[in-house]
Amino acid sequence: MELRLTVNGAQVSGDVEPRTLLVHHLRTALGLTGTKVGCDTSSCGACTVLLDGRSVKSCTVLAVQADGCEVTTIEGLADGDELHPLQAAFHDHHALQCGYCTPGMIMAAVSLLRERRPLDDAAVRRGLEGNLCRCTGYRGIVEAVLAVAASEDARPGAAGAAVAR
Amino acid sequence: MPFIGRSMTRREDRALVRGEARFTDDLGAADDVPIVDAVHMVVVRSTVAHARIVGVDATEALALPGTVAVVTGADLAGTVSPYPVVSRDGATLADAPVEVVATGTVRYVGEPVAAVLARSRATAEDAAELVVVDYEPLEPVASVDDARRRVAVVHDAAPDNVLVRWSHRSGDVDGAFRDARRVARCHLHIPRLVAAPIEVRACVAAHDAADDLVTLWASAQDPWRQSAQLAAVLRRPEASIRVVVPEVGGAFGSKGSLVPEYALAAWCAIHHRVAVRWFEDRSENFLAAYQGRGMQADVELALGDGGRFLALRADIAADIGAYLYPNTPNVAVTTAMLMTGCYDIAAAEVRVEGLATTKVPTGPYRGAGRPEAAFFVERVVDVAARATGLDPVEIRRRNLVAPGAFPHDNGLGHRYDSGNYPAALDEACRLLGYDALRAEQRDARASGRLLGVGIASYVERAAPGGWESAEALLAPGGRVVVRVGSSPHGQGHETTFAQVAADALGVAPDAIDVRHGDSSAGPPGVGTYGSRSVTLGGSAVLQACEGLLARATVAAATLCGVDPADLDYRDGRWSRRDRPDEGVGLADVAAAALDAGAPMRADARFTIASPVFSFGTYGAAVEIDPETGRVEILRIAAVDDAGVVVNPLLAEGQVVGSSVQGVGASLYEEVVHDADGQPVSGSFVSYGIPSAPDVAFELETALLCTPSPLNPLGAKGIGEAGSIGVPAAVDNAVVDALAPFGVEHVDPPYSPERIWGLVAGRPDARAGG
Ligand code: FES
Ligand code: FES
Repeated sequence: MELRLTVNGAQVSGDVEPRTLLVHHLRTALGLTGTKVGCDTSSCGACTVLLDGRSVKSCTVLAVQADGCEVTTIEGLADGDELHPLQAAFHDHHALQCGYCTPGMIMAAVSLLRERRPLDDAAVRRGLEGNLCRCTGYRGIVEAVLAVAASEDARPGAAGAAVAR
Repeated sequence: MPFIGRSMTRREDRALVRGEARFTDDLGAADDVPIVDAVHMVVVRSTVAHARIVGVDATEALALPGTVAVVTGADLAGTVSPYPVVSRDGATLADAPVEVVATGTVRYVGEPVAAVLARSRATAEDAAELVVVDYEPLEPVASVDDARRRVAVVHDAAPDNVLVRWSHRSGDVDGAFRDARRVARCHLHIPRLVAAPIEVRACVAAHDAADDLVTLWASAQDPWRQSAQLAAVLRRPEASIRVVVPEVGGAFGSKGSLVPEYALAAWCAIHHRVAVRWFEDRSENFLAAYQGRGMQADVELALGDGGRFLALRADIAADIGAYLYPNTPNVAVTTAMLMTGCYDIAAAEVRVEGLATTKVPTGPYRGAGRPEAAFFVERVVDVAARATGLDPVEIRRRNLVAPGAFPHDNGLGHRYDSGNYPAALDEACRLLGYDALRAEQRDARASGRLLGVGIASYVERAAPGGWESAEALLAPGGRVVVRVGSSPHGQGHETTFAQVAADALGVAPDAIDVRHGDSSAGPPGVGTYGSRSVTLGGSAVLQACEGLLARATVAAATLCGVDPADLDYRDGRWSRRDRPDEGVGLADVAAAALDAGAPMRADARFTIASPVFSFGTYGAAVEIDPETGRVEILRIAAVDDAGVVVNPLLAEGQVVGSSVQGVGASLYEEVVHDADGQPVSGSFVSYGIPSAPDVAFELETALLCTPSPLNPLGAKGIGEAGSIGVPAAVDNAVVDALAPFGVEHVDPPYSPERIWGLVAGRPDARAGG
């Protein structure tokens, strides 16, 4: 089937088998291997990407279901050499060890911050409930997200744009 | 100021947070991996726990367009050997090594029976469904008790179903029990657990027929054990095998031994002349990756006047599973050898039996024998406290090995190198707020609230012998390239080793490049396991860099035309003592060495004579909801002493991460098999690991420092600490909370059902299955 997507700002089109999952299409056909696969029960969130700006587990979406949509993956987050604030915060707060959950975790956090709800420790934890990390115990991850949320609150307007990139 | 001891963020992070880091299944042409023509492998697995294979019919699978081959045990026969399993620490082993693919008999659900190679993953999956395996059922052996009752013999080589045997006795055990004022006793059980790294097992295998070189790119803890075991299994010289370990998405012990499917992929690459890739499903990881724990024990502690520990006896039974991996036997023996814990106990007798069951084999999972030992020892100590009326902290304080008594022989074959156990106990009580909690508990109990406080002191064997090596090379421009045999999967070796090298060379860590992970490049190594990397790998880095600096100093002296003793060295520069503004830098020495055609380098291999012993005390406060049986962890205090810590930020990351795994083991995680040996817990839905909201409790950590005398860094190991300390502390806290109900013991995990059963006075919920 013919498929048109906007991936990380670029138009891509091509043929895809109807049974191909979005995650496999991104990884195999488009070579965007930053998005990971960690389970077969839509439990782990390693495959999280933004679909029209909202986080989805890309192992639960058929590629053809995303036809005409805008997809943002971890590769589309940084501005050239400059890390997205969440990427930088994950580094600063030691929010990753093996880093396998990290792309999905960051994409889920991007989506959480975009909702612009007031966030505290419990709200961040709830917001990331669908993303499993076996290494860090989540402490650094929660700290990183809260740090970015706090810096956005300090600069209303400006950071919304950074997150919406 | 030295870099060792400084919290530094990781150089590894940048590629990982950008999604650019390459994990095994990400590899492709850009990584020089022959992916384009590769075929996909899907494994056909046993659906029954115990059966004779009558036949495997691949006709339909082979007829499916796109199928390249179906490989069965019959095809491998005569070309592969069973895994090399050797005894360590005096254990007696039965001959029951893992086979790459089952031949005559299957012994667990999930055991590889055949492999399908196909042009696409989808075709391989479809073809695998079409492979028909005809089984003649045998009696399953689903538990240790079944194994002991010999409901069936799992291996002819072990008619009594005992695969591992170990025992040790020291001191007058019988006399001590005869003279004891009291004896504390308990029967304890820890279920099997799954390591569950978020990246499952994955590999790419290729064979270059011209050079007869097998290359395996694999998600593994290190290249070395994969390559040594692959050589033995495939009957090839190790020199004809190259193993590359790219970025690895966690392992926690579960990717240490050669994965049978990797050997299968390599065999297929050789015999079918194609590159083969394999990426398992999560459900396969639950079925077939070796599991951890699965141990039970009867423990007795003889008590003298004043609650003094006179002697300990323990009988340990391990649910080994169907086969021995090379590292399977170590786990139960590790437990056994730590059964005197942090205590000065004059007499001890410990016996271990590892039993064959028709379940997936066990092996190391984070802690690998130490969490079991801490649980067994610390539970019986709490039982002793209750029996003597002493406070759990007080009875520990009276029996801990004294700080001045090191090295300490523990009566079970270990010599503890250094320690200050009372300091860790005191600090944990302070961090937890022990006295205030006890006061609160009195009030809480008066109003019907179930508040529990638990303490657990542990000592663990880290860096279990062996060596690691490193090579330091002075590169053009004066940068130093450090190649290490030790290879990480999330620990942060690059950052840590750069700090060690920076101090040895008097330069900033930014001037150091650290390389690892390719068995064909750089010095050899042993592996990343048992919390050994800083102690062994770090010491090798230190010595290689010291060697490089000594050599470079001689070269600098030649360049300056003076004696080495007449030079001062600082910040990567040598200056003449007599004329301090004249001198040369690392870049000059590097250039001169290159000009002379002899790049400057130094190697080191650091060997440790005996293990080092990290220790600590954990405290936990829990509250149980009597209406639902839900256990809530209120606070955990984690005090660890791992000697000199190179990077406290990363060490704390290990403590926090392993503590949360410990909470998973305490509250949620348990592998369940039914009576037929069929696994019931096969996905993240039925086997829940902690998610972020599950672990919102307060976690206070502290690192103490009693250096090890056995390595130049003074380091020990900290990668497994929380997995050891947390379950034991939480167990004690839960039993403490339930004391008003007369509960003396309850096995983990503390699911609401199990606890509610106790609170409602249902005794059948007391012991685990
Ligand atoms: S891969 Fe686990 S949720 Fe998508
Ligand atoms: S960092 Fe390893 S799973 Fe999250």
